[in-house]
Amino acid sequence: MANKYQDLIDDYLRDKLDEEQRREVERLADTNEHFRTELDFHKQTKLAFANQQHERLKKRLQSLSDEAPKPLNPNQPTNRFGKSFWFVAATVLLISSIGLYVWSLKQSEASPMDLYIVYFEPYPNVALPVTRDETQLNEHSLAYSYYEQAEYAKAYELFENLLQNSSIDDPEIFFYKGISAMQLNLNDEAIALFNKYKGEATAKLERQAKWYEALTRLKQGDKVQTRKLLQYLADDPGYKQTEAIRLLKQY
Amino acid sequence: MPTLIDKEVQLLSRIRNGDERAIDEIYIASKGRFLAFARKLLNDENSLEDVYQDTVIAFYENVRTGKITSLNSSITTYIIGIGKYMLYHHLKKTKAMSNLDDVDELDLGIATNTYIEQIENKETAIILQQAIEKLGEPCTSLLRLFYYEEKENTEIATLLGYANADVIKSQKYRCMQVLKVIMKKTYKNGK
Repeated sequence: MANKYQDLIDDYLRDKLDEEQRREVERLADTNEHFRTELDFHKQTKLAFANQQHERLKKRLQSLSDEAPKPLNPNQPTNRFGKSFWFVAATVLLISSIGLYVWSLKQSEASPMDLYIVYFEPYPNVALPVTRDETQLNEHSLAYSYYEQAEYAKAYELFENLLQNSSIDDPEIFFYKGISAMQLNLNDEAIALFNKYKGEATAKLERQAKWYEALTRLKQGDKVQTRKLLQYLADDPGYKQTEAIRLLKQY
Repeated sequence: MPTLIDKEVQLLSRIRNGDERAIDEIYIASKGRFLAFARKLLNDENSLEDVYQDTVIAFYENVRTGKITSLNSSITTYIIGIGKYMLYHHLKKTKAMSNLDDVDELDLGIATNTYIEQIENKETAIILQQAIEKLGEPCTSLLRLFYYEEKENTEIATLLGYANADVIKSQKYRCMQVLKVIMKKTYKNGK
């Protein structure tokens, strides 16, 4: 298909055409099969991006549901969150899988590393993209993009650059850089990052940071600190309470 | 000290500027009132949670794309207005529809119905979504900025560090060609 129809299709999808031009698009779609295929492909691409972003936003809200709410206004009452069907389904599946795996491990006593492998999975990216500032978009969104693609070395490097840039207001960078560090086996660095993150006033993923710190300490074989962090998570309802209780029984 | 209305106007402005933390704040702030209303119509906490998430995203998308530009009432009232449509749709789908008469209060029907159709028509776009995931940079960012964020080519050129809008136009054409090739391969492998 020649490039000549691209502008027409783009303007059509963005509702920028006048009445006559719209009729021309409709006429072409009726009479020219090649044009119709191209138009459908552009429509579907737009829809695919919308769906992709919807799913991403949904994951973001599901992750919020997992946390105790922080009120916008301290005087305003808040309700405890329920859990979505999919979240519950995924949790049940995860717990069942962990249960089965842990049962099989129990046949021969599980090592801390075995338990780490059972319990660790990277936290989903719920922070991207936050800012549209011109100088930030490339590096900021790219860092999260690498993280999502499991390119942890690249993500780690870009998160490091972002932390040097004082104009970027995204405390979650500490958290995601911490998980990237875990994946690169930079365990002390990961623990330091989670602690810095927990010190941020606007940190939303505090329980998550504790959970990942606990897993890092588990990997290091630091039983005292691992159990202390798990006990904190086990004591209150919220993110990973069930897993923390279970892991405390196993370690 | 900013009033509640100032705060809500600021939230709209933050959404339009792409600040996704605004959606978190709205989600948390409106949940109690939404659930208090919605529980009268639907007695299933899992579905309510799901419907509420779709409702907040629909509100966010309507503001982001300029379908809602100003507020005639509080954000929570809008959310409940959209939520009524979402619940109505859910009940109709599960054949448990009750009588919901006053859904036109804020005239949110058309925008919401379009959004429902969009998120439910997933089968047709699923192969393309898989292909997009394999596309890589800079095509993913370029096409996302163009199709989802609806940025002008000049703006995309600035954001991605290209010389001008013409380069974006030809780069976008190339990206779409690559997407087609990946999609064909994905489709073939899926068959």
